[in-house]
Amino acid sequence: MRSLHPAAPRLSAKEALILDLLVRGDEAYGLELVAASRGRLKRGTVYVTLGRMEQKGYVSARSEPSPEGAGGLPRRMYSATPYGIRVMNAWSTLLQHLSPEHAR
Amino acid sequence: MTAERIRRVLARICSEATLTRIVDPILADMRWERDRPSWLGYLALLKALAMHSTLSIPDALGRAWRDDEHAVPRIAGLVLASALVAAVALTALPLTFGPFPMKSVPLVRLVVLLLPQALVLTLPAALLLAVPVALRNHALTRTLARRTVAVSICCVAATLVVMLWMPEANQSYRVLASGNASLPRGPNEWGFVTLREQIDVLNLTSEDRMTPEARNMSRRLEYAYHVRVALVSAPIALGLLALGVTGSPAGRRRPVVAGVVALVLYLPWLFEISEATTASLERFPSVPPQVYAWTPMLVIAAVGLWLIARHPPADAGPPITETR
Repeated sequence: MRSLHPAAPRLSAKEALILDLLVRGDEAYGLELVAASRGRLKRGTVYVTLGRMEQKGYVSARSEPSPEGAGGLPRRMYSATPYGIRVMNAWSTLLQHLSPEHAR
Repeated sequence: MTAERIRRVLARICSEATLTRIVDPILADMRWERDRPSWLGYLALLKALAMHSTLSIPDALGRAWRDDEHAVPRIAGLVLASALVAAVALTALPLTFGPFPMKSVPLVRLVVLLLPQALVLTLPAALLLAVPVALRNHALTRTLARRTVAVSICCVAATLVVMLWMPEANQSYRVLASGNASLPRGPNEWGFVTLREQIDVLNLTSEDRMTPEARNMSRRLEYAYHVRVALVSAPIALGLLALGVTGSPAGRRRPVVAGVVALVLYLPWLFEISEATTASLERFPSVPPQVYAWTPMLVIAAVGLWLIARHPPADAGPPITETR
């Protein structure tokens, strides 16, 4: 990946998976993504990845309002941003072009 | 209830961003998870924080390097430079001007062999000069103070490496000086493990059957062992003292003078203490050698902490874990 421009957005496998899950569904909270990934995401790492994706602008987050009378912290709901979707599309196009099938 | 308590504790050490992006979502999601034990959630929180801290290290190091006009690398550079200059001076001057019979051996080689012995003293002591000088144009903030302590911890590692090298270098020097390749090693040429083994062998004899000489030898070796450990940890105590000196009114007004004075007072004081201790070890057999070995460093650390408490660093600064 050294040939890529330093400022070019990059997407790790986990980030791509999270974006894919978020684009397919609507918005989701961390444990929901873990469950939907069928074991490919772990609950110990998904929040760190989401935090970094939020920093990069790939996902946005909002606090879900707690139900009446329920105490405790509100759940944090994540959704893909238009920028995140564009990066994912560009990334999957790039990977398609680099795949051996495409080269043949 | 436990979740709230954990959050309160983490709020003291984590940044706002870490709390919002890592801690809160995990704790919030745990509330909705009824079919799995809660300890799995806490384990996930621990794992997430460990991963987040690890991933934040390059950013944190980069910030520490750049912030305050590169104050941290300046401290590190000054420590290394002044420690090396002082160590070379301590070893080369007596060899050059003193009565020395080995004219055929290159001076550089002798200096290199004696360098570890000098460096274990000058490396920690250099903090006393480097910290006030490097921070002379900066307000001493808590962040800067924390980073200075981190530099002191790095000095501990460096001093340990030098301390491990010292016995071998000492022995090489003695062999060179005596011309006897099979010269037996003395206590100063034993490593940590050998020193400990010798103490244990002496202590195998019960206290009432031990000769006074053996008891004295055991105490002297125990003292030598603990002095080495105390010297390795000395950068922490001296780093605290250096921070105290830097934050004091005298250190603010004349940082270079304050650093030099602290250094000039420290080294002779250490030699005085060492001589007094050697005499006291035999005179007061009821006082454990560990007390003699550790008291100077504990006194220095206490003075440093007292000075810091009197003139505390300026602000709270960013917390330990921090995202951009």
